[in-house]
This record gives sequence, C-alpha cells and structure tokens, in this order.
Amino acid sequence: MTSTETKRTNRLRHLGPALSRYWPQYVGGIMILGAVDVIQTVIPGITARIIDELAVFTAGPHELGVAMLQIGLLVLAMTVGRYLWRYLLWGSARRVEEQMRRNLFAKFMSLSAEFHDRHKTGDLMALVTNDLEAVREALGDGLLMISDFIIMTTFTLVAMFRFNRPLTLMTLVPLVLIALVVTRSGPIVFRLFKRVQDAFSALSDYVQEAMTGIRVIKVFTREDAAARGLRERAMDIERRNVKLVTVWGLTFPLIDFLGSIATLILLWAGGLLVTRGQFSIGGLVAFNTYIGMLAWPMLALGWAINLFQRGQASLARINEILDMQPTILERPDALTLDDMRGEIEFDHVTFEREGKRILDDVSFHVVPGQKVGIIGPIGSGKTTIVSLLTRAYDTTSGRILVDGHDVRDYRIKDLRRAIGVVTQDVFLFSDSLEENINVTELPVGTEEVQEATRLSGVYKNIMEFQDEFSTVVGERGVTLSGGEKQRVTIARAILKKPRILVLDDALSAVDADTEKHILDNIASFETKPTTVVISNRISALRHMDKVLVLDSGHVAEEGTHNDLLRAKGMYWHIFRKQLVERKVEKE
Amino acid sequence: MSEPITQEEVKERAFDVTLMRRLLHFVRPQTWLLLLALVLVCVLNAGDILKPLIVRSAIDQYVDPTSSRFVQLDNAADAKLVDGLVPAAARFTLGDRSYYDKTELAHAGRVLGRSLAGTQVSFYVITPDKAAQLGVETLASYASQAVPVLFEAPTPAFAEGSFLMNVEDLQRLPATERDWFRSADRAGIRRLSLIFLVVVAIMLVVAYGNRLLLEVVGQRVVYDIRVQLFQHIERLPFSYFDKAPSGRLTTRVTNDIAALADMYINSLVNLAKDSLLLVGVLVTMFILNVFLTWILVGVLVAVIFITAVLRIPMRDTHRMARTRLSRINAFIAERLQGVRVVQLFAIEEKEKEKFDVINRDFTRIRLRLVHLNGIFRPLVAALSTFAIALLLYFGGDRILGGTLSFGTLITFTFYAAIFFRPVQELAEQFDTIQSAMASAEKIFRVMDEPEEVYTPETFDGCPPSSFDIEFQDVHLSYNEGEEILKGITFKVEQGGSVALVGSTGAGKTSITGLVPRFYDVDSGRVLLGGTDVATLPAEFLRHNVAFVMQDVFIFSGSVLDNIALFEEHPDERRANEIVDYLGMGFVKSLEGGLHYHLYERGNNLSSGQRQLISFARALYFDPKVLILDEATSNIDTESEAVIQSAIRKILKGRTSIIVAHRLSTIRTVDRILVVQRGRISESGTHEELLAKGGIYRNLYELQSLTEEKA
Repeated sequence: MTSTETKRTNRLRHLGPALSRYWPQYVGGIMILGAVDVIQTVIPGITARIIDELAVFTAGPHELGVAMLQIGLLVLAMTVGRYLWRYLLWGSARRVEEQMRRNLFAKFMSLSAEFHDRHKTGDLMALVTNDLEAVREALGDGLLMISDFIIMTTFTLVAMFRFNRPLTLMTLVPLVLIALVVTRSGPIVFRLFKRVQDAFSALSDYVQEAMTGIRVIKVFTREDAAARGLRERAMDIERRNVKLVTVWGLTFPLIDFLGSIATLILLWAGGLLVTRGQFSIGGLVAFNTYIGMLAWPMLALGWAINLFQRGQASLARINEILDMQPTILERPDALTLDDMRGEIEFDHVTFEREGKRILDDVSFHVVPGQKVGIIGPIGSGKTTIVSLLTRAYDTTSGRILVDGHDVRDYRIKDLRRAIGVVTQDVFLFSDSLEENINVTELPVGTEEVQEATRLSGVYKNIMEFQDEFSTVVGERGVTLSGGEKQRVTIARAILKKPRILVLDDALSAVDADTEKHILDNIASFETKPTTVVISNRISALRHMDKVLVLDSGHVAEEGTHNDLLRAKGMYWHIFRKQLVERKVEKE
Repeated sequence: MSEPITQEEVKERAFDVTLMRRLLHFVRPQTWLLLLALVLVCVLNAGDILKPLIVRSAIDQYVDPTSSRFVQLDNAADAKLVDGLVPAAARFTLGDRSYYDKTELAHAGRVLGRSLAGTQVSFYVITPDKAAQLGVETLASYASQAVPVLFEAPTPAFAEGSFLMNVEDLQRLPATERDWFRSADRAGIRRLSLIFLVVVAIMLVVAYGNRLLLEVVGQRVVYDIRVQLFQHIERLPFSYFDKAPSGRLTTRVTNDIAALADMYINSLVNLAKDSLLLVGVLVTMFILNVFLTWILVGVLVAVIFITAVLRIPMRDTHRMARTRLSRINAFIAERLQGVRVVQLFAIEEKEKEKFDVINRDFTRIRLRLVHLNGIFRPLVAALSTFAIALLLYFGGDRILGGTLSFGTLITFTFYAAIFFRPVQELAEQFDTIQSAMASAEKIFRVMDEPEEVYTPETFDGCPPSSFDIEFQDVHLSYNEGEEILKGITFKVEQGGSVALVGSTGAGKTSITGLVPRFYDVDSGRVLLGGTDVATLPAEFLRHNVAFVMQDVFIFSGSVLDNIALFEEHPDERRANEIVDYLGMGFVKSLEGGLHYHLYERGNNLSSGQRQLISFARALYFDPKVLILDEATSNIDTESEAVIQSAIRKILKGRTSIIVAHRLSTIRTVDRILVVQRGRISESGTHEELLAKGGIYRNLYELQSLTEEKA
C-alpha cells in the first residue's frame, strides 16, 4: 500500500504502458478518421456544384456521370477509411482493456490475505467489469468522439464559411445549443438514473429478503403485508423512472427540434438570399447536408465529456488497487528451501487482528516426521496456526521457525510449496477434477494424480462419474458431496509431496471408517512428512504422537491421547461427550 | 434447483404467439393510453413526412419558381413542320419566338426522323396569386412595353393570369427592380418558414409527450406484473421453496421483469412507429415521383440484404462475446474466492497463464465484432450516400428534361436520410423483443406453478373453538418413496404441552410443520380442536398457531417491524408490553428502543436477542397454539436465563409442541415424545423415561455433558 506520492499524482501511471504500446494505432486511427471527415465535407460541395450547373444548363448527362463517379469513389474511400479507423481505435481500446484486465488479475493474485479479507469479491469484480468498461469506453468511444468533434467541426465549418459566412453563423446557433443541452443535461440525467438504480436495488434487496424469509411470511400469514412493501418499492421505481424521463425524454426531441431549427434558419435566411441572387439552390442543399454532419459531433461532444468524467473516476479506483503492494514481503536475500526436513517450532507466538488477540504466546515444537493433533473450540485459534505457518499473515510478536530458520527468511513460494494444506473451507474451481487436483506448478502425470486420489480414498468415487477425471465440478457440472470434496482436496495436497502436511478439519464430512483409512494411508507415506491434523473428533487424534488442546488462543493442554485422558481436563471432557454421542447414533 | 442450465442460458427466444398474447393481457388496462400513444406516433410520422414537403413547396414556389420545360427552336424554318405535330397545350408563342415542350418536341423529331435542335429556356413564373400581390396592372404595363421582358403567360400551357419572364431577362434587370419582382416570393418563404416552425414545435411537444406517455404505460404494466408475480410467489406452497433457490425467484421479480419493461416501453411502439414511417414515406414518395422512389427502394433492398446477411454472424459473435465475458468474470470471481488455494499452492503464475488464454480469446472475439461492425455500419452509411448520388444522377437528367423540379429532388434527398433508419431500428427492436420473450417465458413458468390451497373446498364455514391437537397415524414424505414420518400418533390436550426429542433428521421438525398445514400428509390425519387441518383455511390455522423457527429470520427494519411483521400501523403499546413481559431489557438500551434499525439477518444483535424477538413476534398475534423449534446453538449464559423464563411465559396457557434441545425446556413440558427415524419410540414424563433407561436416558446424559461444559 505504500507508494511514493509523486507517482500517485500521475493519473495514467498504470494505463500509460498499455497505451504506449498502441500509440501508432491511435495516431493512425485518428488520422484516417480525419481523412474520412474531410472527404465527407467534400461531397456536399460536389452536389451543390452539380445542382447549380443544372439550374443554368451548363451540366449535361456527361457532367452528371462524372459527378456520380466522383461521389462513388469518395464513398468507397470513406467506407474503407471508416472500417480502418474503427479497427484501429476500437481494436486498440479492446487491447488496452485486455492488458488492464490482465494487470488487475495479476494484482489480485499477488496481494496478501489481509487485502482479500478486507475486500468483498463483489467489490473487486465491479472493478474488472464496470470500471474497466468505463475506462475502455473513454479510451475508445470517448477519444473517437472528441477527435471526430474537433476534426469534423473544423472542416465542416471551413467548408460552410467558404459558401456563406452569415448563414453559417446563423445556423450554428441551434447546433451549439445541442452541445449545451447534452453537456448540461448529462449530469442531471446521470443523477436521476442513479436514483432509479437505487430504487431498483432497494427493490432487489426487499425481494431477496422476502424470498429468503418467505417461510416466516407464510407462517404468520403476512403475505398481504409483505406485498404492500413490494408495492411501495415498485411504485417508487415507477415514479423515479417517470421523473428520469421528464428530463431524459426531453433530450432527444429537443435535439431533433434544434436540428430542425437549423434547417428552418437555412430555409428562411438562405431562401431569402437566393431570391436576392446572393445564394444558390445548390448551396442550400449543401448547407442542409452540413447541418446534418454537424449535429452528430455536437451530440458526441456532450457524450464524450460525460464518458471522460466517468472513465476518470473509474480509472482512479483501478489505480488505487494497482498501487497496492502485498503486506507479506520477501526479503531480498531470502533463503531458498529446496529440501525441507519438516521441523516446526512456534516460539512465543502472539497474533492480533483488528485489536483482537487470536493467539496468545503459543509455543510448541514438532520434530520432522512427527504427527501432531490440534483440538479446541471454534475461535480458539487452530486455523490461525496454519495461516501463520504458511505466511498468509505474519506474527504480531514471537517467531515461527521451520528447519531452524524464521519463516520470514525463506522465499515465500518455496515455503508454501513445501507445505501441503487441506483447508477447512473446501474450495474447488469449476474445472475438471484432474485440473483441480493437479495444481502443482509443474504438471505431473495422470498416474500420480490417480495415486493421490487412491491415498485420499476418492479414486473409486471419481471413476464412477461418467467422465471420470475429466468430470467438471461445480455449477456447470457435477455437484460433489461434502465428503468427496474433502477427499479431492486431500489428494490435491498429497500430490504436492509436501514435507509438512496439514489437514485443517479436513475429515469432518467423511465417516469414521474412511477417516481411519485416510489417516492410515498418510501414516504409511514413504516420505514421512511432518503431519498436523486439526480436528474436533477424538477418533482422528488418538493415534497422533502429540495433541495440543487450544483454548482462546493459548495451548491449554499438550500430550499424547492417554496423557490427556489421565489429566481429566478439556480433552477428557470432549472424549466423554463423543462417546455418548456415538452410543446415541448407534441406537 | 433442477431447472436445466441450458434453459437459463438461452437469452433469446423465437417469437411466440401464445407468449405474446399472455403478455398483451397485461397491457389491456392501458389500452386507451396505448391508443393515444399510437395517435401521437402517427402525428410524429406525419411531421417527419411533412417537413421535406414544406421545404419542397418553398423551393419550387418561391426560392426557384422557374419552369425549364420549354425549348426555343434554333431553326425558325422547322416551326411549320413541327406545329402540326405538337399539341396546342405544349407550345406557345411570345412576341416573335415560339417555344415547344421539350419532351413533345423530341417526340415530333422522332416522327420526322431527324433531331430538331433547340435551346433550353428557363422561365420565371409569376403565379396569379403572386401577381395579385405585386399588382396586376403594374405587371400588365410591364407586359405592354415596346420591347417587353414580361409576358402574360399563354394558356393552356400556364394557369390563366400568370406572367412569364425569361430568367436571363430577370437577371439582367437592375437589382431594385429584380427585388421588387421577387418580393412576393420572400413573403411566401416567410410564411412557409412559419409553418415549418409550427410543425417542428408541435413535433417537439408531441415527441416529449409521447415519450412520457410510453414511460407511464410501460411502468404501469411492469408494476402490475411485478406485484402480481410477487403475490403469486408468496402463495406458492412451502414445498416449492424447498426446491427453488431464493436468488432465482428474486431475479424473476427484478431483472426478468426489467427486461419486459424495455420491450413495453421501447420496442413495441417503436416497431409500430418505424413500420408506419416506412410505409408513409414510401407512399409519399410514390406520389411525388415514381422513378426516383424505385431508385430508393432498390437501395433499400440492398440495405435489407446487407442487414440480413450480416445480422446473423453479428448476433452470434455478440453471443459468443457475452459467454466469453461471463467466463472471464466467473474465472476472476472464482480465483478471488479461492485466492487462498492459489497462494497456498503457489500457482499464481499458472493461473495468470490460464487467465491470459481466456482473456486473449475474449479480445479476439471482440475484435471480430469490431471487424463485422466495421463492415456493416460504414457499408450502410455508404449506401445512403450513394443513394443521394443516384438521385442526383437520375434526377438531374430529369431536371434537364424539365420533368422534375429542384424541390422534389431535394425532398427525395431528405427522405433518403430517414428512409433507411427504420430498417436498422427494426432489426434492433427484434433483438430486444426476443430477449424479453426469454424473460417472459421464465416469468410465466413461475406464474404457472399452482398456488397453495388457502381455503379448502371442504371447509364447512365453522372453525373449531377448542385447540387440542391430535395426530392419527400420520405418514409424510417430501420426495416420493422417502418417507419421513411413518405413522405418528399422539395427542396434546388444550393448554397442554409436549416436547419432541431425538437425534437430528429423526422427523421432529416435520411433525411440527403439519399443524399449521405447511405440508399435506400422505395418509392419516392431523386434528385441531377435533377438525382435520386439511379442511381448515390456512389463514385460520396460521393465525391461531404461532410457529417459532429454529433459525430466527430478521428482516431489515425496526425492532417493532420485526415484531409486528410488516403491519401497516403496528401497535406499539402492545409490542412494549410484550417486550416488558418477556424481560427483553436489551430493547430499551438500543438507541430508539423499538425503533432501533436492524440490519438484514439481524447482524447487529446477538443470537439470544434474535431469539427473544422471535418470541415477541409469536406473542404479538396472541396465538392459541404455540410451536417452538428450539435453537441448538449455544447462547451466552445471561441470555440463556432470560430465554428460559421467556419460554415458560410464552407456553403458559397455550397448547404447545416444542422441539427441545435443553434439559430445562424439556422439564417444563407435560410429556416427552422421543422421535426416532420417523416414529415415536418412547413417551412419558421426564421421570418415567429416565426410569425406563432407554434412548431418552442416553440423550439426557449427552445433553448433561454438553450443558455442563457450557
């Protein structure tokens, strides 16, 4: 989050590199756009000339043919030019957007757990959807409209001035008013539109709540009362929409009207000039075309200003995220960790978050290959131990040593690669099972993937699916049961061949027999990883070399299963309760 | 939940007559307003057609009131030959010169077998009404000069009372004189300009009024559908909500209906407007000039052809882009949710590479769309410019031939500008209507779900006055073949209470739901005051049977709103009494007391406080029967005491069934039923069951251990 202030002032600091790659396209596109605009102003001139020649019989079929050929060729050139500038300008905007989206995604992935705790997925998604779109629109349409406005207006005005100066100035008045109407009404419309959106999200919230609480509504027969609430909100939407249209609905008729007024001025003033022999019919026709050509850039100018304002606000939000730096940092001279032994030591570790003490002076030691169990009530700090070990967070005080070195001394990726964690909240991507399991950085063979699923006891379940390992998980594919998901994530961790394997409440959804089977498999690994099993089930912990009982952030009890039973403390109490539970379940 | 994904993904739907008819049904109340809108649309179209016609009149009558139909023969000797061949109406003589209609002369030339050379002459025509303005005597004196420049126009070639002047002669006159001749034209231009101003001013008002009108109509229709759909959903049976995710139902009431709004407000009327405009312009053009109209029709066919050919790849590419974009967004959203996994496995680089692939793919599709658009739009623009070139070429030829006026030619260039627009818009309207159809289909699918029977036909009009409960061999299954209750029989006397205990999934909650008839039984009967609940109105049952659910649902709103549940004028005194009675001291300590605002799900309350609110909610409606599904979650010790005393108070004097998890609660009831796998396995008082030493004893021990620790 630290960034030098001078760098922050440059709005294009993140957009610049992407833009500079495409500057030839932008320059080329705008030049072609200009050329097209020039051609467009030439055509009415040809039309005017031919009409005036017709009036005095100096043009015959031959001249008409030549004029048509000229117009035809110019139209052809314009069509090609229009294709080219579209491709260059819009295409570049799309490419810059691609680049920016890529940067944002990379930034999301690189920022630490703390960042992700503070930012909701929905808010970050708004950045890659709405904000990115606003920036792209400013870079594509916005830039186009501004260029078009400048070039088109300049050339058209020059052409019109050459025909007739006073007439140009007169017809220009309503056209300038168009630009004024759009620029002025833009913010008002935007505000009213936002009010409609607010009303709509109020309705959405209300309906969402009513649908979630529908049983309460029905239980208390409050259907009519709830419908009254809906009617109020629906009516609010209606009212605000109508209010929006009182302004927004006037915009286009008003623009049409102003355009017509320009035509009217032309007809009136221009017509009178013709009767005095100071203007020609051809000129009238040409002017009418010019008015049509000027109306659009006037409209575009108003829009472009609005687009730039929105784009700028969005870019500021994007920049803010791209400025952020990970809070978990690697030392420049960080140690590599090629071959971890798997020794863990917590040395007076204290961890605080948002003023709350989560871990309070926790110390313990695990020798390589040892199996450690951790038990304790919700909120006692079990998962935090894993988070600190893998450096999702850093300790507030105290040290965590792996193989005798502080975890902060290692290269982060080396550390994480050597530790296999099965997280409590099972997370699978909507990809195939194979892709979900094989998430090692260097892909391994199918053979190994299958072996890992055998060890985690999910191989048979997978082979029962129609597509076996290619089965897609999630919304688009198969829904796995809780137990299956847990075993898939265990396979994922095993495949890493970790030196430290952590199962964080990873067996809660599997039955007792499967649990034993998996734990036995892990115990028989040739590689003998250090194993940490976090569980609330005594059955999962009784064969551990050592069990830690956590209570409100500190180690309350420590010892083997038998030691702890003899101590008749928390562990013993949990043990007794689970014994009766089993009895009730069996009956 | 079982709604196939493919149907959700279909965004467009072919035009469906039945669907359209059902949709139009909602428009019926607005018929008159819609007809008014249609009238306004016609006015607007008329204005669009009228504007070029005014310009045409101005040009032909006043700006350039010349006629160039006539030719002067170069060789005077030809006159004798020709006179017999050209009808009297197509020739005249002014002074010593004879003039012939150009077309007729060419015809005569063909008869004679040789071309007759002639010089085209433009006559400035002073129509009788202009002559009247300028003064007929003055003009007549001009015409009777020795070497006249002004002539009384010969009939029948010109209207009686007109005057003619060779344009070249007019130009040779001194400026003041020339201006005098044309002063009548200027008056005409001013008059037509004024008419033009009136027309566009009316159009401004009508267009604005029409836009407002359509918005009001559309919004009203949408309001009606929305309220009707919501009320319908509310009245669907409980079993429906077990299957339908609340998010999907929300979408139906919100976004899907918004898609319909788009159709009602814009597409339908625009469809009518564009079609009418197309027809109107076409008819007007045919009246003005058939040949030029055919030219424009030819170009229109080309525009339609291009639209038809390119529309399909454009639409498909658009669809592809949309699915690609949602794939990208799903990818990012998922990696954000699973960012821990990505970082734990240190696969950031790999994920970035995967993202690059789909990101690049999306850009590729977008560029294809830019490419298609780059062909389509400029091509259509080119065609409309080219149409004007064609008009100029063929029209110019006719102007030379004297058979076309400048005004008409210019009018056609105006029409060319508005002629191709409706075709483009029609294609767009079609797409909007298609996606509205898809939404409509989803909405109707929900509308077609049968509602719960609130008042059964078998209801005899007299509800029971006593409130004892009896279950007689009740069987229940939610899904066919999976029986949840397998013969439940028990009785609770009026004012008596029973507790249901047993492990999770045994069927306790299912039993309680049958009293207020949330579900219908497979067989057996549930009796309230001796009457089968299946024959009683749901309102009666649910008014008299209060149901306190395990997980308390708090709506966003005040504490009072949550107790009185959406009541329009909640009885604050009553709520206060209940709060005091139940010992809910915490309400007083909240800022604003009963008016304290609770957030969705009641996140700003403790679980114990939420529970107490649900008790107050049950008491507010003073039920005769109380059903309580006790919360299992641990509650802090001080709330626990308040809750226990509150439970005793709400049970007092009410027939009650409690799904109990706490020993203290279990001890307050008259009788305990142990439910196991859908059957009642033990029943009796606490002491009886303990003495029996069955399952209850084990459950009791377990609960003791749990509570001991707490």
